[in-house]
Amino acid sequence: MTFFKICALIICYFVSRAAFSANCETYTGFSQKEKVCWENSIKGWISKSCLKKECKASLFFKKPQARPKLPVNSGGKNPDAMICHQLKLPVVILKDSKNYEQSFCIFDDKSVVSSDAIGRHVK
Amino acid sequence: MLLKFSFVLLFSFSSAWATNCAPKNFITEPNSPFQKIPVYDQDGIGICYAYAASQLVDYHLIKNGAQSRTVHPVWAALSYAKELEKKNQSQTQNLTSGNTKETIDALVKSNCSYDIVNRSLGIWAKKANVTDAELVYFLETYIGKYHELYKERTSKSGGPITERDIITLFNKTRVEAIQKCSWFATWEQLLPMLKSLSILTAPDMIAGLLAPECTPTVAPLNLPKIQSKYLSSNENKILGQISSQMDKLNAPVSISYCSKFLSEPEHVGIAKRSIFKQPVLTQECEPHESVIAGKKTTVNGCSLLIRNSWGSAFSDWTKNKKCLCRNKQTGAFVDDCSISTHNNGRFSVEGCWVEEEQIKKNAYVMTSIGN
Repeated sequence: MTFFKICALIICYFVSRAAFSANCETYTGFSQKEKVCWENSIKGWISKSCLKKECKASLFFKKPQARPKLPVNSGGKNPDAMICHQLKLPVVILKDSKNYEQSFCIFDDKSVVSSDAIGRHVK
Repeated sequence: MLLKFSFVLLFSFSSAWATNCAPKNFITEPNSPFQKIPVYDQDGIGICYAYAASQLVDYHLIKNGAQSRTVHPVWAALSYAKELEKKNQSQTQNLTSGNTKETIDALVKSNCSYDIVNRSLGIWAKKANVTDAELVYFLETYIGKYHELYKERTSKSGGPITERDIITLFNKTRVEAIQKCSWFATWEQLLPMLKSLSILTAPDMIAGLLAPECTPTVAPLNLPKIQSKYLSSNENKILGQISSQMDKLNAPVSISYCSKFLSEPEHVGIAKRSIFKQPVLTQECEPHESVIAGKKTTVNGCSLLIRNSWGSAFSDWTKNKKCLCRNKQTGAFVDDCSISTHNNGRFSVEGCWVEEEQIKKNAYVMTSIGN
């Protein structure tokens, strides 16, 4: 009986860990590495450090933001990245483990968030 | 007998109008070259034509034995700009908006490997002790200032740009960068390189800065004929034209189109098509170029799989579309995935399906590699 109890406890431990473990990845640029995690509330990738304590990137999503007026898009620029540029947020292209690229917007405190999440949030 | 004749007549007419849209997916097919060509994100740089060109070239090379991708899209854009300058067609050195066929032609003359370009960027970022974004910001600012001075000197015959000018420009850029970038940046590490470049134009400067290793050794690419043509003036033939070219080459093609329809499905970008002239675009048209990596028949006709260069996430353009996703863990493909069901961090967007009517109203040029 005790054996079964221990087994149940071990299973519970791993199940709870799996439930709370974040989906995190290391994205790389040509010189930098950035640990980002999937944040379901914004449906996008955000700096891992923002999960532990509040950062400028997470604060951005705390209140509604006005959509900046975009210039005419010539040459097929990424509209989400253009929003970041209009908001005066620098943009960096980072790659996942398969080298797939994604533009990230950088905040003053160096926290980053994927541009698609920014694009969806501004209205 | 009359009935039989009518049936045959009816059948031949209906097959003449129907688009041949036999399903094809160049991303999911076994050993697809696309497995070695990532989905790109072109950020706020308007060089979509270079992203399309690099993917078409890489697809062809990998299909014919290359082990990895070869072409860096930024290098493709620079090669194109340099060729334009040689022909004296471009006084502005503005990389935004270009021609996919001419970009591939330029690459044939002066390619530089993807790894060298990427490594060079990394070396410069490390030398200057800055992040990728800071380096790009610095270079954009510097090159912008350089270009203004170049225009001023050539228009007023003010003499050549001297080393002293370069130092002045460099210092002005550094002052601006201090407000935006890291305090620990060592921009002066870039100065010797900027001074040593025998430069006249911005594309030459970036090319020299990014990849000096490529300048002396030009590795020509071996490619078959590049084809580029305006799509049919009869919009009912456009899908058939694209579809049959993909079948004939057994390879993806790229199309030029007005991109607004990606977020506004009813958008019409082509004002008028005519047989002998190029199509007239509406004022609202925002020209873009993407690779078409597949086709299939749906209830709405022939749908094309657009492999865009706007990143691998579910962004605004993927809204209300069926897409092709890849499971990041297993690599398995999921067709007809959507933002409402698969935007959970576990999938990358490979491309999205766009409908026949939208292509008819917005696409105008097709480019492909091969006879």
